[in-house]
Amino acid sequence: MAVMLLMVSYSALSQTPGQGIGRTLSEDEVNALMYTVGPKGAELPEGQGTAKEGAVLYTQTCIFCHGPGGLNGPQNALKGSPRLPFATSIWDYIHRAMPRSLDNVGVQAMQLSNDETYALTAYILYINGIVEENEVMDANSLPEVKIPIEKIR
Amino acid sequence: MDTKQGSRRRFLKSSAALGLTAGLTQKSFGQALHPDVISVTETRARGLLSKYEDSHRVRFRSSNNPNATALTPLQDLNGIITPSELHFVVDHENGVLLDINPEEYRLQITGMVDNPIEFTLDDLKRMPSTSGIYALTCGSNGSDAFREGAKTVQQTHGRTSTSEWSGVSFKTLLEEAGVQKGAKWVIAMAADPSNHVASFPMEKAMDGITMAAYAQNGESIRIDQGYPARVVAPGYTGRWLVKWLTQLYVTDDTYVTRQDGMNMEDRMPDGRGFLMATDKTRYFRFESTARSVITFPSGGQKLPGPGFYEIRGLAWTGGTVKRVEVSTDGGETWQDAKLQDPILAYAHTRFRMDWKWDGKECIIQSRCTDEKGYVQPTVDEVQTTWGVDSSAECFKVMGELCNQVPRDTHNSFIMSWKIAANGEITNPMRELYPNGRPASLGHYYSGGHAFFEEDDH
Repeated sequence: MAVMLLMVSYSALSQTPGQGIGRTLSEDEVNALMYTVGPKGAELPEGQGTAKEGAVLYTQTCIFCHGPGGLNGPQNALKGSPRLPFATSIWDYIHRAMPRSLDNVGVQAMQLSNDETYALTAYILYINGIVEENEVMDANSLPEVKIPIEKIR
Repeated sequence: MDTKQGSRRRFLKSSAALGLTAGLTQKSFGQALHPDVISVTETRARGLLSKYEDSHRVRFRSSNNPNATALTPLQDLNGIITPSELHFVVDHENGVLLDINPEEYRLQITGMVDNPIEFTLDDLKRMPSTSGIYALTCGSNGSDAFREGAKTVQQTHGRTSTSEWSGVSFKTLLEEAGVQKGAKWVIAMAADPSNHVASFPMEKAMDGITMAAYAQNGESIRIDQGYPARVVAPGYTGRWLVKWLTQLYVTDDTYVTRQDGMNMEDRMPDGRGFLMATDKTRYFRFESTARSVITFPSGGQKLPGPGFYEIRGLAWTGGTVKRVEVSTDGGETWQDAKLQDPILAYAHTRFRMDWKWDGKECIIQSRCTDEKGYVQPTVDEVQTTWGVDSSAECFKVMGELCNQVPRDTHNSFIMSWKIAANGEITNPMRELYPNGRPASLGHYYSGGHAFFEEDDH
């Protein structure tokens, strides 16, 4: 009976039955790693952008790989098949990984500002006929964008 | 006793002496050997491959990603273990690989945990470990059977390999950080240039065998397997198996990242994708389905004439292989093949069947059934019937919706090899099913036309 009680109390205490291995991250370090944005968009930061602004940025940064208007580039086409169910996923990936280059191998470089990321996300949604050219994308409006099922196919 | 051993030693010695002169008196010994003699002048740091052996990976080239794929030479292999250097590779890196300094490597556990934490590689290697023999399979494996120029089993099915993987389970890592109540998903992230990301339901992450693997077949994992650590999630298809793993992010929601959504989707017969744009119907597929393929005799080989051949192949699934049947008459009749030990969950299972070829043209096929009763479909069955992911973890995450979640059946169709009367073996899939290509195959490689290169090794 005593042994059983001991076992119960042990398991109750051992919510984190770790070995004490590893280094606890500081608050700043944790914050720097919190860049993943989910479908609800709760993690989206401040900032905003429109497709019109994004178009300018696109010709400076993205056109070399993705082609004019998101077509006929050496890398994936961005027009016609975004094939992502949530606009927030587009934001997440642009911010996380673009523009892709050898400079950002091995690090999460976050080369684009929040405003730039909103503008480019708006531009991709615009060339796919999902938002208007002057529609402002921000932490409130982006999660509200519904991508029609035929655009995901 | 001593005398006996002594005489035996003398006998061996004189045999060796005879061996040296064998070349001079070859006729009296029948078949002569003419081996090259290799002088051993230094430590053999790695085993030597005979110059007569040339088993190697080949690539599949698509227009914008020429070196992304290296295919395992299944036709050359025996047993179930794939040598590490022949393990298949499918990258999304456009020809860039990372060789991370293990001193600099860090794995971070963040999100809904009590103790956000960072591990070095040395930390990982001193933690309680897990190890198992598991097959890794790209979800696209098999789709190339319908591509022009796909002749060999390496080209049609070379995106699957089995290794013994060792590392630290996600469970151990997550317990070290302390997962908070309400957390439901674990998102694995990578250091690679494409920032590969994959979402795991918590039930899978805590199964005790899904791991951050640092070793493959006993040695450190290879660069193109994600050195120094990668995800191995037994039963899950390749897109979850994040290489160059750097972060596990714990959340209460699936994040439907780019790689969760793009290029990896299954189609229902009515054209619906597995990911839908509403919160209520968010479909994922997780597990590989029952698959098998005959590796001998197979495309590109030639049988010298009628007579005995052992038909051999590999079968695997997101669970355990229960049965493999072989047909030598194009699917009219089926016979049970022998399953060779070991038969392990999540690993390749080798099957074999005695066969006497009568010298007539025929089609040979194999069909796998797994422990859930899932039977590998024909191409025609794939068109109309899709498997569902009935795994417990899917059910826990999706509830009843699980019964609508398609598993990746579309590339798991029964593969045929055609043996001509002259013994030549070819891939007949395009002629057998001129309109029968499973509906979703065209969605892979959407970046442009793809073709096989002739072997450029």
